[in-house]
Formats: sequence, structure tokens, C-alpha cells
Amino acid sequence: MKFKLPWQKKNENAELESMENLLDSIFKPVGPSKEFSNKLRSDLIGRPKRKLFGLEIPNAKMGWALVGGIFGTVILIANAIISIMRFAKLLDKVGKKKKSQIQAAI
Amino acid sequence: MTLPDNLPTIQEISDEEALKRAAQGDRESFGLIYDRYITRIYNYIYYRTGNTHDAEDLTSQVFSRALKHITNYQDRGVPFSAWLYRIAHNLVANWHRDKSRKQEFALEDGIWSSKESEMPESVLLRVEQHDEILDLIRDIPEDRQMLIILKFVDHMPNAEIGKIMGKTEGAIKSLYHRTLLSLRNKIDADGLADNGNK
Repeated sequence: MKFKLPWQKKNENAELESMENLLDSIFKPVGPSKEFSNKLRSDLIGRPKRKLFGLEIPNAKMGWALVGGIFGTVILIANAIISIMRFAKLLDKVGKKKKSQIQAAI
Repeated sequence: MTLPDNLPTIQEISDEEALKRAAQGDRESFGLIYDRYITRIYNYIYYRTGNTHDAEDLTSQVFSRALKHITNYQDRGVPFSAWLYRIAHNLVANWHRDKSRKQEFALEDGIWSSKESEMPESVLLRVEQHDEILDLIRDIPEDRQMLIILKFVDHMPNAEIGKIMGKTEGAIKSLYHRTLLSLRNKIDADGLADNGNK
């Protein structure tokens, strides 16, 4: 170990302090730009997932597709019900017509 | 930056818990880790490379690599930040190997703090002086550069720096002392001492 005289130590401490002050003035936290950090975050993690009827929706396109699918199914079922009802009505009409024809024949 | 309502806030989840969840494929937990470390990792890379473009590029690579290998991460008693700094350190080392070109600092990068009353010429002069000192710092061994950045940019205590660098607190203190003295000598040798202190 190198022997140092008291005044040499004092001098060294002053030098270290001046170096610390110099480095303190040079280094400042920079931080990434908001734009960069937001973009990188969405690239890595993606946007927070939204839920629709308990299902996770990864993106808006998927959400619209799901809404479209549900709407289409409802229309299809409604149409099927209307068609069945019409068919039933038609059968009823035919039945009544036949009945009246039979009664007229009698 | 908003987080989903169903997740606890950043303060509520520890690094370990977030890591465990992230390793199981929970991207939002990785998001918490990302939010905690993005600035520190960026700052480290920025001062090692000296420009925004490469700092952004390498920061992206650090987090992409971390996400890719998060399932392989093993807790060996060192903080998670040490793992991230290690990735950053390796990428910067590769970058320095690949590109031997001299980096330039732009005024608009905004590293330098300047008082409004200062004249542009004096700001420019100081930027040049700081640039030369930063060039000197980039010539010192990598572990010393890391120590200086963690100390002066992140203001970390020696104990935390030790955990990140895999050294004892005493070893960090000693390395810090030697680094400052050698920098002082380099600055003196380059004749930057008087200008640099102003």
C-alpha cells in the first residue's frame, strides 16, 4: 500500500470531490421519449385487452367481427322463427280451406 | 400510460411476483416490469452509446430479449435489474465491437443542463467540453463506465450497484475511488481540467 502524507490525502479528497461535482454536472437523467416508450410497450405487450360478454377482445377488428357475428345470428334466428310461424299459418289456412271444402261437399 | 382496471398498481406488485406472472405468459405483468425499468435501461444505454437513435434501438432489443427469455430467468438472489443490465451491457459491448465510428452528441439531445441566462456560445463550449470528457469516460473499462452511470445517472447507493455488478459494497467503493482518480489523471493529461470544472 502506498504511503500518503496527511496533506496529500487532503489534496486527494479535494480532487475526488471536484471530480464528483464535474461528473454530476455532466450526467443528467435523459429518459426515453414518451412516443418511443409507448410504441415499444404496445409492440411488446400490446394494448390492454377489452372484454365483451366475458370474452377477451384483442383488437377493434375482432370486436366488430364478434358484434357482427352476434347480430347476424340474432337476425338468422328471428328469420327462422318468422318463417316457421308463416309456414304454420299457411298450414292452418290450407287445413281450414280443406275443411270448408269437405263441409261444402257434404 | 394506462393499465387495465383489474390489475394491481405498480406499487402493489413486487418484481418477483410480476416476474412469476410474466414467466407464465402474463404480458401485463411484463408491462409492469417494463414500466419500472425502461428509463433506467435507456439512460444506461444512452450514455454508453452517446446517441438517441442507437439508445432506442438497443433498448428495444433489451426488452425484446428479456420478454423472449423471461421463462428461462432464474432467481439466484440477485435483483432482476442485474439481469436486465447484463443484457444491456452485452448488447452495448456488441454494438461497440460492430461500430468503431466515433459518436457525436447533438445539442438538441438535451443532456446538458443550461441556464437560460447563458449565452449560446458558452453553452456550445460547455457541450464540447462535456463531449470530450464523455469520450474519455467511454475509453475506460466497461465495468467502470457502468459504475459511473449507475452512480451519477441513477444515483444508486454502492450496495445496490454491488448487487447489479456482482461485487461487494467494499469492492464498489474501492473501484469508484480508483475510477475517479484515474479519470482525474486522464482529464489533467488532456488539459480539460480547468474547462471541465466550470
